[in-house]
Amino acid sequence: MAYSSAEVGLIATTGALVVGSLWARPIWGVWWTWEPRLTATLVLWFIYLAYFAVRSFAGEESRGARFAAVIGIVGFVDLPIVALATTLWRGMHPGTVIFSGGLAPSMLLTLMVSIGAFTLLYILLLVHRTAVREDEVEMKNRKGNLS
Amino acid sequence: MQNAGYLFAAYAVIWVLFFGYLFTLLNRQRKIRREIDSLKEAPGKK
Repeated sequence: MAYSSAEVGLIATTGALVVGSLWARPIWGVWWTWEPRLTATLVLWFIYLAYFAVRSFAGEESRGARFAAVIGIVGFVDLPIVALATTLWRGMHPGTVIFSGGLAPSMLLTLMVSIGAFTLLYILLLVHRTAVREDEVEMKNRKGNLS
Repeated sequence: MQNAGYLFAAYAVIWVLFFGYLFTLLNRQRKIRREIDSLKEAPGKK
């Protein structure tokens, strides 16, 4: 399940970086800038890549899973950095408005609906990816038993 | 509407990314299940 969840996370982070660039171009006039939140999100993307690289190149499946788990636990440190980047450092991203009551009620409702929808999408993709992974493991075992 | 092209592109990227991934998963699962079924039948064919 960790593998599946990381794969969905990688897809989502890739989407965030690409769509973020599409938003940044007309608003900031640049496709990319090395400001705190964007940089922290790119670091997160690299952490996901490192997870899969370690998992693939460790040789033995269980050893790869153990090493990748360490990457995941250490990489988790980046999540609060991404979330708090606009508060801790001054950058091009606007500051937080949700908790300071600066968001209009209609926008807050839209945000909550989006969070709910994307959470459901994550669960759907996780369930499917985990099922495919279990089938892959079963196929590998059956091939091993036959040879 | 200003910058509508960027807005369209952003929605298109997200839809293609997530639904493309889901479609790939479903396809892969179908192929793997077919192979598992053939592996289940293989010992019986001896």
